[in-house]
Amino acid sequence: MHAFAIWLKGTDLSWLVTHHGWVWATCEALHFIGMSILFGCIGALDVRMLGWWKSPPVAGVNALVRWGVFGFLINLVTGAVFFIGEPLQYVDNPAFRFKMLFLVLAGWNVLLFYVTGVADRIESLEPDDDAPISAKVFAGTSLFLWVGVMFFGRMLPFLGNSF
Amino acid sequence: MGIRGSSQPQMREPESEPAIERAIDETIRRYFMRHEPSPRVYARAISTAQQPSAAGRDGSTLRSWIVAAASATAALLLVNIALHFFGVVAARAASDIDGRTGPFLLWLSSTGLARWINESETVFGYSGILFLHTLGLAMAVGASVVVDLRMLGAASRISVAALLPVFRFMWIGFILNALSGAMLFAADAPRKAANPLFEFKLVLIAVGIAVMAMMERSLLKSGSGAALVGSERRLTNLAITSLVIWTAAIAAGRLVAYTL
Amino acid sequence: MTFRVMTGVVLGIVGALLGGASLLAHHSLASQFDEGKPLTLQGVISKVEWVNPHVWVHIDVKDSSGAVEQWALETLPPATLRKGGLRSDMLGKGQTVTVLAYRARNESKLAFLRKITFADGREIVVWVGDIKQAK
Repeated sequence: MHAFAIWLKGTDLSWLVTHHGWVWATCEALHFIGMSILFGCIGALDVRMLGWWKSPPVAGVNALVRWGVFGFLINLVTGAVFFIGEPLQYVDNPAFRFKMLFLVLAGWNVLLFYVTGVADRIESLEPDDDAPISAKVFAGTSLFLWVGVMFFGRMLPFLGNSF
Repeated sequence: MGIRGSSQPQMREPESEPAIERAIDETIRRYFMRHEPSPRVYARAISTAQQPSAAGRDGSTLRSWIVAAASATAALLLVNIALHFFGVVAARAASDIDGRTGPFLLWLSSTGLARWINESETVFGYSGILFLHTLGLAMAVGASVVVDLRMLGAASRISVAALLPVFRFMWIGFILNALSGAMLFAADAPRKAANPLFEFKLVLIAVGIAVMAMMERSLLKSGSGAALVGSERRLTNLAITSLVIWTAAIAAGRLVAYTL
Repeated sequence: MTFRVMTGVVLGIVGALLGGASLLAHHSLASQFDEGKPLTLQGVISKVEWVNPHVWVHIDVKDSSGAVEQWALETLPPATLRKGGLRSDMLGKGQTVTVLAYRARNESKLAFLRKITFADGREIVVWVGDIKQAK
């Protein structure tokens, strides 16, 4: 992994990312925007399932999930730009490793949510209906994991040694 | 509680009203009302009781004050930035890294709080406060994005009334960011106060909050019906403005981290 | 519906680009500082700002003609420096130090502190992620 990072740092693409000053700053702004869209839309569904926001039908909130995916894709792309630009400040960084771990776990959580059929069970819930316990577990885990991703992202220069 | 006059149309079937309500009605009629209310007064009382109470909602006055204060601050800051820009106020020398040295700002930077934040090495110090700032912005902008997307037509099965509680998350995020932001400012007050980009960020946030408060008021006034008060076009424009403003605020905030 | 949503989103992204496309270069290490042009500076510490998110060490460097240049050296946060062995009490005003630093791309008197050598010969390297690469 470390050798890959050193190789990546020497590529033209990496040079491109760091040579033009506006690339990094713009990608950082977009990364925060994608994070907000993701957290807002996925958080909306989680909050509906947890019962903190009971007024809409779940099918209505489900329609926001595709926008959450859109936010995630923005962050995937901008995150790749950061990694390509400065691989060495992430590859040995414990905060980055935890962030990736939480990210993978969040993805795993989403997968289980759909594969176990809980997603189908809640699809038909009308306004003010309570979600089943299984859905609440998925929702709570999702919130915890995404907040964790944000936390370790913020800690990159503090727990680890990124600039 | 229904005030019933003998000559007026019954608003509810007598049998469906609980007995105690009937007893209260009867008592009031007998002891407090000399005459039957006129038909007009009666009808007006009924229609007022039936209307969804928008004015009585808790916090709407507070929100109006917040919007007013935010707008005033934004206007002042914009004037300040313009003065910098047009050279009326002397620009900071490039090598002057000390920032503004007014007495309040100097005092702020000398407080124990500022020193603790600056020199902290654990997650309970600077990095934790920064994390809370990020979390607050994710909540505030995230909630705004949900509302804006709905105003622009996405997730249309969410009714307008169902959208109202989302604003609460936006306000919680905003308050979290105001508090964490105040601490971050206190830690570096002279330099932040001299940074026009920081002031611009505050302006953008003030405008963003005002736009969201305007949208919230429009949705409140529309009651529980599906029809929206204010033209649909106006709400669409507000939604688009909100998205642009929050995006620019995030960008400005990121850039503040780079500029002295 | 979709058209309006996309308009809103696109305008939002345009806002981001307007905000980000600034003339100032920042904020990855390599985009702000040129790692290919390391400088060696010897000077007297005039000021230390031991603050989050970046510690700043200001040194006065005498050049060949005797004129004094004021350099600002930016580096990592306090916690990270301390873990690497550099403590705030090791940096005192008036100390003579030799530093290896990467100059800022905007050619100002700003550099990223990479290695600091004290008068008694002690040397501390500030590593950015790649401790195995620390020279």
